[in-house]
Amino acid sequence: MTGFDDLRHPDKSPSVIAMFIYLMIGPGLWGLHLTLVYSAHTLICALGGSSDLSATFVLIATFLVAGPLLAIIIMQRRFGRLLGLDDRLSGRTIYDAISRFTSVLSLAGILWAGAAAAIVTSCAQGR
Amino acid sequence: MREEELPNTLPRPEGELEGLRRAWAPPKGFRLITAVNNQVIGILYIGAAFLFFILAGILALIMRTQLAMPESELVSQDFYNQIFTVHGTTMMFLFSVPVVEALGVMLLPQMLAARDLPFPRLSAFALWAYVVGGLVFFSTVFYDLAPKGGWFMYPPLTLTEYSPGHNADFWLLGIGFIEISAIAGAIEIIVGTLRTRPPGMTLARMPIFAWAMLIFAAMIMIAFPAVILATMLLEIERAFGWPFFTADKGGDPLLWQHLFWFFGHPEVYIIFLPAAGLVSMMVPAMAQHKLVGYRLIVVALIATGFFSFGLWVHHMFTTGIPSLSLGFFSAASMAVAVPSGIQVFSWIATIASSKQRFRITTPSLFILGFLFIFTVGGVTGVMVALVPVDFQVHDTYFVVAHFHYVLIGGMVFPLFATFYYWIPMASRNMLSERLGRWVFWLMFIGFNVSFFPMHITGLIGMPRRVWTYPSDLGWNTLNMVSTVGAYILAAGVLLFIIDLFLRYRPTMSGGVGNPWNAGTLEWLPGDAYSSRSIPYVTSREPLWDQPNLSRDVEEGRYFLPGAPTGGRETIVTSPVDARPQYIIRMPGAGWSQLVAAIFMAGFFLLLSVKLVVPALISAFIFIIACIVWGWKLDHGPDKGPVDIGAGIILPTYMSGHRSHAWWAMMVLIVVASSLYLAYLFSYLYLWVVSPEVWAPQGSPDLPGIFWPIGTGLLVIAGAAAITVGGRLLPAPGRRRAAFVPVFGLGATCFLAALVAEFWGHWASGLRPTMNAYGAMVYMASFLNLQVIAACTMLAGFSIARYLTGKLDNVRRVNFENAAQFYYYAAAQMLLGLVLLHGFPRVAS
Repeated sequence: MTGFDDLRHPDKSPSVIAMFIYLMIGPGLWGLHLTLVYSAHTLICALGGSSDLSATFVLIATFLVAGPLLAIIIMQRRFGRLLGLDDRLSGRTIYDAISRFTSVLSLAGILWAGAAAAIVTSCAQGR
Repeated sequence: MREEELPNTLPRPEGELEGLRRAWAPPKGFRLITAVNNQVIGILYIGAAFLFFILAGILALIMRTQLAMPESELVSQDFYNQIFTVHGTTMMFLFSVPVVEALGVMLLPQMLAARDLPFPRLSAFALWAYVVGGLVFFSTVFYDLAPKGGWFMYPPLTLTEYSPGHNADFWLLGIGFIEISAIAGAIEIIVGTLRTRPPGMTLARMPIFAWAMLIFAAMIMIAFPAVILATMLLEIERAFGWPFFTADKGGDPLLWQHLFWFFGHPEVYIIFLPAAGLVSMMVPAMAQHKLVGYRLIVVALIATGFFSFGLWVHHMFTTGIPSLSLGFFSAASMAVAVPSGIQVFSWIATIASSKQRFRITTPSLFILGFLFIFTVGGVTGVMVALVPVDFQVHDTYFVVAHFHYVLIGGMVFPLFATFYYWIPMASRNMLSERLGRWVFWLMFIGFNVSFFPMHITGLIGMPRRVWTYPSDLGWNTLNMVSTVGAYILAAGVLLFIIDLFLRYRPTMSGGVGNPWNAGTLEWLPGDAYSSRSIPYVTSREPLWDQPNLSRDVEEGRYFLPGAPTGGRETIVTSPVDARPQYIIRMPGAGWSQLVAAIFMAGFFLLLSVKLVVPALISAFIFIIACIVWGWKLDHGPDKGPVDIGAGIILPTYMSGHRSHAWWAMMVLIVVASSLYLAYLFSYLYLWVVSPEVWAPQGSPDLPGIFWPIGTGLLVIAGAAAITVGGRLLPAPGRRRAAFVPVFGLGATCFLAALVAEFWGHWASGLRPTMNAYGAMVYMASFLNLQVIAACTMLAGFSIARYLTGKLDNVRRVNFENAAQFYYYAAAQMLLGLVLLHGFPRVAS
């Protein structure tokens, strides 16, 4: 056996889409959250909805997106296995770390943006 | 790795090295312009970008001279408007992004030990399109045709009423087309980084610069389409009066700001991330210590890339957006400082961890200068992310100071470090250390003297973009100091150019070796073919961890030590763990990409001055050149499999999802999707702003429901016929009469669907000039027309390949590319039907 035996099996390569999702799940959910809260809040305010409705929507969306992301951070390896990533994959611990840290940063970003709803009057003009 | 375990044995067969040299030799003399070798294209690309840096810098000096004293009349107000617009536009579009792409083209294949990037002619095309388009655009400043609306060209100022003449059109069409060149480069970089890494170089072992370039290119795919759409909308409004931005017809000038800044803010990180990647490569070499926190830096790159798309509204804090929205974007703007901070701490930790003293060389000085200047820019960035502070300093010189600290600190200083660090790889001489230190100190002192006072000038009220100012406002001394600083900075750049002329002597034969004792693969001995053999990589710093690697690679002991097919080739590996999959055969020098680039530039530039017939002739020649270019790309499987070493036998042809062509088309589809998503956003945005002009109340009734249903059925039938066509492809050497009619039927269905969708709205009485709703409806047809035109050309190309015996069920890449794009077209058209016919019915 040499190190090259591994190279003779190109079919064993992990799915690039699975790896993409694994590494980007946190930032992806952060993007989803921003899109949801910004578009819904703008729409509610533009159509004359109340500030309370807008703020409530933002808080619910924050809870709904942050919850699953927190679960993914806690069950990191299981999430990877769910995507079909082998625990013995070369560099797996590095991918785990990257995924975990991007998710933690994204969670902070989601909570940071969501917290604005508790502080600011939703539909008041900024200027 | 023990000698007997290396993939290939010694002695190597006679003539193997000569064959490799022959295959990769670049053309000589004036034919050098037909070269596609990444080292030639990279140098020319960097040279062109640097030329634009100098030109834009000269404009900056003119501006600073004008502002040195109050009530100066060195230049006219109108000319001042032109030069600040061209300065910003050139620095952002013609220098920053192209120079980064150029560095990608130049350095990535060497860092990945690939013989070249997978689409060498695409790199050459991107270069020449950019050079021709860029020079013509810049030259407008010499004959009073330059745009005057600032680098962001806000309407309504840039609408025909307020900006008559061709000046704004040069910006809109010129920049729109240069972005196409940037997208071409991005496709090359993504496919190259993911598919041409050496065996063993998993994603986890990839150099940080490759990570940075991957994220940079992905950001271009998402961000640039937004501004391409914006430029299309504004140019169409200027040329044909479709009122996307005219408020009294339901348009909104703020739509431009949303689209522009959705591109414009990520653009800052598009520029910064690769520069940070370069710093992450240089710091370990100077510290002789592995990068501390590799995985955290990857995290920082990914997070910065994503977060940068959530910041665009911070450029619009003063436009009257609801408070909570300001809160979201203020939070994101502060959050993005966290990953940037991670990188800074990582570099400092690497320097501090070094067992020997951090070497103070010219590249190190520029890196330390970068750390200081960029950190100051980052801190003022957090300041302007705070909404009340932004209200106060918006459109003042404080913001000018902030973004120059970020951009010059974050990009130009690392770039100069890069020049001093990597020129030994591509030159027979190093640049002068003594002059280099002078260059650094002049630039560092000049920069701070010039830009630091601008914080104060801005805080005491000096607005941006003013041509001159009265003498009694307290701005005189600060402006004079800034101007003196600008000239000191320029002296530093001038000294660098002198050093370059004195010592830079380009070569493709390995330069002066590895003077910094760096650990990454670009420092392997090499030639026009990159490295003699392609190494097996087992760590992130292979030259440090595999002491005999350079010698073994040079002796041809690793993979693919020759040119077994007799032409240019490299190994394609799997994207995650870099297992060899096949050999890609690449084209050599040629004229077609050059002709295509020149005439594509001709098309856009002639259109800018409304010379429609010459523009169409130019477009026709462009298409012919593309066909000639594409005709020779698919070599087919005639060469059979080859042994690359260690008993690994690889095919020399690949179709399906492993093929690099399939990947390139997928990247292109992501770009097209981004453009269409930007359109969907624009449609919904204008509806939120002006629901009163939407059908059925504010515009003619929607076409009857049978129109969208019939159109949708045509699209579905077209996609089905394309699928059946693929199954009808015959075995090699055989014919199947049904292929052409079935494939042609599919193409015809799509064309019919396009016409039906257009005609349905036209018959209802809706016109694009009527209001913003009408303009948006016909814009959807225009975007579909673009996609279907491309599909039709791909279909015609595939049919021609079939009729000449170059397309069958094995050699099928051309068909697959056409089919992929048709499936995308189907998705886009069906989504458009739901939006245009369903949404107004629901919303009303």
